[in-house]
Amino acid sequence: MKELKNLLGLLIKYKGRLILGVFYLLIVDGCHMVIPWVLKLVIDDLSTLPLSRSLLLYVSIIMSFGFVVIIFRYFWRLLIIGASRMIERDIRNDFYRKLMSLGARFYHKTDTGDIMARATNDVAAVQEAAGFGVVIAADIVFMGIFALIMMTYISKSLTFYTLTISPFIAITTYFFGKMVHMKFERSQEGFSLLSGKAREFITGILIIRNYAQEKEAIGDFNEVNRDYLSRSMDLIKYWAGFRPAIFFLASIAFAIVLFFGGRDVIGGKITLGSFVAFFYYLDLLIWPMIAIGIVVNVIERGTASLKRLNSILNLEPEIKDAAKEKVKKGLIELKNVHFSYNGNPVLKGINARFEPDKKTAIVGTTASGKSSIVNLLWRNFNASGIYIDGKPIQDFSLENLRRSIGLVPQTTILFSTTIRDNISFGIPRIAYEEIIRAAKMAEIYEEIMELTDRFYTLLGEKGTNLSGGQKQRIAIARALILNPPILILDDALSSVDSHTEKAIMENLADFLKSRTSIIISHRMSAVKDSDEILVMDDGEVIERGTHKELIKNGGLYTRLYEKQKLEELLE
Amino acid sequence: MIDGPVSSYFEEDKTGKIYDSTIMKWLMLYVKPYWKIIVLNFLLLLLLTGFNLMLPFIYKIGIDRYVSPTGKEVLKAKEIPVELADKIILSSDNRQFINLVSLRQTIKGKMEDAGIISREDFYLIKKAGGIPQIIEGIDYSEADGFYVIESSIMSKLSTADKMRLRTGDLAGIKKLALIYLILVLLIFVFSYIQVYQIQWIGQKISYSIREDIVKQFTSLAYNFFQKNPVGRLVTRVSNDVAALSEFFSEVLVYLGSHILTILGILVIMLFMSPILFLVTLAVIPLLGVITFVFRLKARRVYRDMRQKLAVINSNISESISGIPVIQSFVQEKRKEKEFSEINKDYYLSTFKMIKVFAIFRPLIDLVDSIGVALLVWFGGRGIISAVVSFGTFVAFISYLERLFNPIRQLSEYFNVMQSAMAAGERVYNIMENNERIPEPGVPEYPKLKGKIEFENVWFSYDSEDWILKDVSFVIGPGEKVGIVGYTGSGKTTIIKLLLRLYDIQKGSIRLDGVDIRNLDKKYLRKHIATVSQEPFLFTGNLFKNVNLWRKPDKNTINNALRVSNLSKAMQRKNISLDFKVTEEGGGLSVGEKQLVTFARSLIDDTPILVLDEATANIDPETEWFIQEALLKMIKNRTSLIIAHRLSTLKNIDSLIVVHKGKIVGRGTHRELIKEKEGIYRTLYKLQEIA
Repeated sequence: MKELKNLLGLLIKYKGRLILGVFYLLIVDGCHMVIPWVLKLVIDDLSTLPLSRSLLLYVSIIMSFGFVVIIFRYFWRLLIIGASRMIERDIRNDFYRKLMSLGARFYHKTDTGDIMARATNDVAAVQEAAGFGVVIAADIVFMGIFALIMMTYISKSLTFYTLTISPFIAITTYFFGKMVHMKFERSQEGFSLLSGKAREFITGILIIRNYAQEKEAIGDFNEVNRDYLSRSMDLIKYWAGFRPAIFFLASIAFAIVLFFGGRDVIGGKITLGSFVAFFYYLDLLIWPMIAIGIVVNVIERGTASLKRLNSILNLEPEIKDAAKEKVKKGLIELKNVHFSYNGNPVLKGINARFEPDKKTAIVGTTASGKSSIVNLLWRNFNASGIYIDGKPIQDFSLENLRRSIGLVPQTTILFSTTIRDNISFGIPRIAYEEIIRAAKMAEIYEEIMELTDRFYTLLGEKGTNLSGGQKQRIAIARALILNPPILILDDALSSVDSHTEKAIMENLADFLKSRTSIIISHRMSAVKDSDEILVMDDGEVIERGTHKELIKNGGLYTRLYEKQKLEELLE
Repeated sequence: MIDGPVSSYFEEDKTGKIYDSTIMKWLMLYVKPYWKIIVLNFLLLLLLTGFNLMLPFIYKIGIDRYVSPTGKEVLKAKEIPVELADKIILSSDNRQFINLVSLRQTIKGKMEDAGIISREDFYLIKKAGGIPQIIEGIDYSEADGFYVIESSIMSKLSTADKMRLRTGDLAGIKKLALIYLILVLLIFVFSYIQVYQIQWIGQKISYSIREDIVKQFTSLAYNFFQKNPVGRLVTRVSNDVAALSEFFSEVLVYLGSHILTILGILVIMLFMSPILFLVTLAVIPLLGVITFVFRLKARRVYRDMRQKLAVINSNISESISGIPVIQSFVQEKRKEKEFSEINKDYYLSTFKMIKVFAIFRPLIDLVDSIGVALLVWFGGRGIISAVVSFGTFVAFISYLERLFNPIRQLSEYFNVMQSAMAAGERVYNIMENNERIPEPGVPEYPKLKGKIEFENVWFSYDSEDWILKDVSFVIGPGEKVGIVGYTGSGKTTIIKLLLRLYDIQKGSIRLDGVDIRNLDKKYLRKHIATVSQEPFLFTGNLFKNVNLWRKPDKNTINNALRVSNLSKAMQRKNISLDFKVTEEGGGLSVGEKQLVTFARSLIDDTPILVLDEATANIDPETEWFIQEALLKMIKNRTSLIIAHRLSTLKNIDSLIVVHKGKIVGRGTHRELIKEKEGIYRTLYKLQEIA
């Protein structure tokens, strides 16, 4: 009930359109009552010749109402269905805006497929309910009432007899609609099981073959195949009966009209024309009777979808932009920072100081917590104990904080647009020269110029696919263009060859002056000349110092360093 | 629509052919086994169509025969055509009447030409028994077994009198209503059977096609799977077959019935009244043109809409994966604006769609009105001259409505046909794919002893970029050899070639002296047990994953569990063979999964074992299980092992060192470690550090 109210809430925004549309629909439905009545007049007139009016009069009435219907039907469609599309557009915009505001925690626990399903299926179901749901509901009321009035006017007793079937039709449509929907869901379930099995079969094809189990594996697949078959047939059992059952019930009404109506004409209670008109009005009434079941289903589905959408739309973003403070120097301090994720401690009391004009590096084993520090710095997650320019990070305007950090994340994410748009992502209106400058600094300029469309080359599925190293360098250029006081490279050179890496680090030397820079890397060569190196293991900083100091130390850093040297030998 | 899957968000409609004879021929192979049922189904359909078309006709009969007055007076003054002469009923007061119900359409035409019919209607009431009481006192005449009563006189009678007078007509109406009921009941039952049956066939065929695709997968070359992403192949089995099945569920079910309905209606119309038939015929082209233009328009707009929706969906999807970048670069507002732009684009295209529908749907109704108006005009004139009966007139209007629906729907099947054909083509392409490793078809060799020889093997996946360069080595029966090398050196390729997942370009690979290209693939694989680097588990329990579909005896299983140390791992976890696992592993660590694949490889007693060790971090205890199991497994077998752990290497007869596609060393660990500048020494040191 609450959901239904929510659905109505969506409609209210466009109430002007909707009311006018429904009014036009009323006119159209009213016009529909004309033709049977004209036929009645024609037939009665023809039964008692000579004609009291010219046939031409009847013809012109039919035609003129035909034209009226065209005009109003055009407008109600535009108004009502149009409104439902506007609602769809609004919901989708709201949904997207919500997605933009939700943080990492939400995305970690929510499956992308699930979000996509809401953005597609659920939005469509709501649109359907807001569009056809309204149309059908209005149609049921108008068409039903109008046809009933006409029928009752012709003959009360005949109307009574035929109406005895109406509850059956409404119930059958509702019941069948529900069953069909349920069985449909079940067959969809079977369908995903089938897809899953096919996927397993294909991914496991080597094992199947290596053990010469082809026949048996096919048998296994066929079990699911058969299960889907039986689920489909289960659906068909109902689906195949749906239309015939409705048609059957409606036809009983026509048999009733034939008998009682025919009797009334013979007995002179009604004229032949009235009998025929009654027949056509009944034809018009059948649709609203069927539609009651349909509309209930459409609205049920719409409200269920709206509920699912609202469960996301009503989420509060974890991280809010409430404070005002702005980053000036970019001095970052971590004071005993703890952070756990899903109950697992990831950072266990980190103390660190990243100063402007200083290059700080973080190295360590995989999953030691390096990237978590980065995530806390740009407040992808919240944690206490982090200070910028001496003030708690929470005091800073989120927008200003993030704009002050040039981040090159571990996984390179580029968008399927041009290279230029990717580089200028943070400042879309930046001058072309700046883009070139950043590209040159990231050592990607030459390679871009070799592409046919140069900076206007499209990336992604429909465009060029760059190598991992090229992508990383574009991501670096994207961060450099911000001219940020803080630059963070999170293993941003992993796919770049050592020669290019060296060139980039040299290019950056000047840029990094007067900036706070944090470089996370697996490559020792990239961190060697840092002012300070933090060595992390299992959420803790276990060593810190300059390269020389750490080598002297002979700890984890030394081991990592030697390993790297050996690997270089093999390359 | 029956198993209409939620198609992939981004897949745009492809324009395909509506009919493709090759694909049709292939599809017909699947249809063939059901031809008897299909013929039966068609007959059922024919019957159903007939029944359906009889319904308005029953109304017509009711109106003409029982409800309306059926008699007309023939005016004496005029000349009577010969055909009419013997239909004339002479009344007691010497007037001539004619029963319209008994006249054929052609004679009615003659009647009109001659202009001999009175305007006044008469009721012809069959005599049954004596003269009914109420007839007394009213003006009637008798003729040839009928009472003739003028309609103006009849209308003055009371309802009760009319009813009493016309009991025959009442009985007739009752009979018709009953027939009507029986017919609709039959239609209900038959159409249920018909739809169910054809759907059943469609589903059975889909089932067979899916089975055949999967079968085809088992015989396609490894390369095929490298080229085609899993998702795409899954779509072939699931969504494409579903689209194909729509061809049955939608097109075959309704197309036939629609065509039959249209033809049937036209025939009945022609039979009832040639003039009104021609009038109706004039409307059909109009309807056809509107429908055709509508279809063209709608399809274009619809495609545009779909494309824009695909843009929206891929944008959402990209934004979700790009959310860290969007948020860290504070571009939410811009992305929102961008999104609302493409959302607006889509919204505008939906509006175009609304307009197309808002114009064409009412237009079709207008044609309907035109049809009715024409029928009123021509039908009304026909009724005046008694050429057209009321029943015919009413039936025509009903038939006209029934004609509209199928014509309107026919156009929609083009779309279904199109997507079915496109899907059919994709499936067909897989079925016709010939990428297989050539099969010699040589009969079985005796059981292999297990000597492996690589002689000057050159191999590349494509063109001249050699992965293996002139690789030669021999592994004697029962010898245990390790392959070592840095990432990308070609180790795994050697194993793939031995299993003949690819054929080599130059050189030869031999087993017991026979080139593997001359060995039957199944035979070859039955002699080599493989354990791959990424242990793959099927959804199901451990029992199934160890045995796969083989049916080993208890001893074999127990032995396999024991040798592989899986039994120990199971004990430690306190689980049995019933333990459920999923493709992703489901509660088992990588190391434990590796043990499962060990056990799996031990079920068949193969002379050769090929093993690619898992590289992932494995806990010390499981590691120990693995190492110990390895020792037991390689006993008495020719073993080729890609080892990532030093401990494994120590228990091996000799090592082959591969570097950049070449063999750069062979010997024992002791021998190789001595080479100061050797690759092996570096590799070894590297592993020691890690």
